[in-house]
Amino acid sequence: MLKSDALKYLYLLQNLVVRDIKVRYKRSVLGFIWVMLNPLLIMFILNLVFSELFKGASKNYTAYLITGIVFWNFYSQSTSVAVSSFVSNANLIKKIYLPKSIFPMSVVLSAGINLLFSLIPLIIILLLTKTDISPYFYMLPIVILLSLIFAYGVSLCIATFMVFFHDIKQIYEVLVFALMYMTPIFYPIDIVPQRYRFIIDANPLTYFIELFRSTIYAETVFSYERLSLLFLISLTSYVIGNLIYTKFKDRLVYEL
Amino acid sequence: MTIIEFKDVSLRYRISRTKPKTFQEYLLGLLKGNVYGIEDFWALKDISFVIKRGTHTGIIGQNGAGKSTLLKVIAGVIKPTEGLVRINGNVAPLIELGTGFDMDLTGEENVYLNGSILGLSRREITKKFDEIIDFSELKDFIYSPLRTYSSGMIARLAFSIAINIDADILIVDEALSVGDESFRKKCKTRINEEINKGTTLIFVSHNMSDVINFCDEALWLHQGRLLYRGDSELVSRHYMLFNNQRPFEDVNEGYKYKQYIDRLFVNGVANGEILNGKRYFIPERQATRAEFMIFLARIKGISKHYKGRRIFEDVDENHWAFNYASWLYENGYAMPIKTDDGRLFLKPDDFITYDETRKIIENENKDFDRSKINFQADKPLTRGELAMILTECFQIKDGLMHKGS
Repeated sequence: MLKSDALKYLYLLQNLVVRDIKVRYKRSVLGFIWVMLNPLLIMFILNLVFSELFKGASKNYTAYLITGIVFWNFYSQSTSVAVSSFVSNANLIKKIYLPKSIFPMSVVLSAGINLLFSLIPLIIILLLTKTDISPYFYMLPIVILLSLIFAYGVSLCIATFMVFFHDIKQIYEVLVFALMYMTPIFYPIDIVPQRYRFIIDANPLTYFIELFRSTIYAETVFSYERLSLLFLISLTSYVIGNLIYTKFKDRLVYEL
Repeated sequence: MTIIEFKDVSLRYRISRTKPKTFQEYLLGLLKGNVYGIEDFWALKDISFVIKRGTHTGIIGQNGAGKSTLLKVIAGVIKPTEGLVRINGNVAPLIELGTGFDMDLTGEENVYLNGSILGLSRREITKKFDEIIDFSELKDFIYSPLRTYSSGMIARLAFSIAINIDADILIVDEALSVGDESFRKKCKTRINEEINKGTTLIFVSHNMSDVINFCDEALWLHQGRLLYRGDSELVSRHYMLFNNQRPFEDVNEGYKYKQYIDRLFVNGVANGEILNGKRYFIPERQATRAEFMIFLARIKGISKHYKGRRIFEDVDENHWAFNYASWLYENGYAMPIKTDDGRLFLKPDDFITYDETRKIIENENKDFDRSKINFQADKPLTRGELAMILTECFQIKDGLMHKGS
């Protein structure tokens, strides 16, 4: 019974993810190409703006920039959409029994699939700029998996809170904006003055983005200590997210 | 076999008029020292019932009586605050218009999405796909995005999916207001097919004739409590009277025998005659013996399923009072006229007299206070008067005589 239930919801999860991806691009002319075009264009703009500024600080600014953007897109997209995933599915949650966590999970997964597709332009850029691929490239799936788990934990948390306080959405938007500047996406970490480094170091996304880079192109340092740290961070996020969700899940339906 | 069991189920909503909806309001409230005046509201209170597999149960009650909440508990969406709920099967809620649909996906894609929301696997949906499309009559539009559909088309698709998924428990919540008149008819036929297949039906409606048509049994919720449970026809009648609906067109407010006629109606003793969908009692017409027999048999609790045998020479199998006359005779209530050669006659179409009712009544109720009724020997009596005599003699109350278990 339990096994068939899990299978049942696995198919629903699959449908929700596919729906997300289909709907996002269905009505645009270029459709799915946007997944790849988006990071390219953003990279192009940021490259124009910042490459002069950070020229000396980073050896391969283009590679640095596009890896940062691709990862950041994944994180900000998944959590910003997932924050309202309970509220926007309220009429389903109120009518049919479903494991509610399936909604934030599907959002994070579809953002993850977008991430996989945006690896294509990323690799193309690396080849064009004659950047060497990291010898740890085979570790990339693990880093992505940990990122998914981390984003899912955060999403469960904020989506649950948002049911009780709709302001969470606005607050989180601002927080994501601040986080973007607290994460070394488009500036090299070395240019941050020492007295402000603690902000960067306290931000878990810093470690994700650095490890992500180190599995993609050489010139960056991959370390297993960092990987274990990511593992711990993801696990913590997952456990906290689940605790909060489990505590409140039966009350959600009253508040929706 | 039990499919749904409720045992002392209560459900509390916490409501507060000054509920903080935003952080700001919440924080300000805390600063001001507001402990939010949370009020308890019991949407369901001490509800116990058992529904057997394959039965059809109507749920009636006014707005806010707790019907939707009850459905949510059955669907497993809300857990009760107190009590025990047991559901032995999968539930298909007939959800209202387009819940879980995506307007940008095509009809086909939505069938798969909605099917999986209702718990079907890809293979199961594929197997049902043609049936769903045929029923919805949307074959030509199935590859167009849903946003190009009219609301009626969306409702048809939603109904077709829900009705075709072969759930153990089918919940229909006023969903019959789907599409146009001909599609509505088709829906009703399809629901009937489904319940004949042995699906357990939970039906919520304000339309009593639908409840009577679809359901054997009805639960009447009133302010979160289970007020009555029993035969759907009787509970609906009681509910109609409770809502001040006039059951008989020709028995108006203020008519001297109205309360007696209503009591007979509520208890399923008097049905009246239905003409163009309206009920008439014809209270001033003189009552025949057959009519009297039928009232008496129903009061004494004849079963719906009783099949009579031939007893009277003048009441054959085709006579409308056949079963009743036979039942009364077998239970010693009938007064046959015996001819010398031992044949029995009932004379069903003769007018009944005060005297004849008196004999029955004295037989039945020794303490009956005769001063209440002005007996006039052999004068025939009207149906209205008969209603009064019967209710007084058998002490038929406003409530149901036979409360269901």
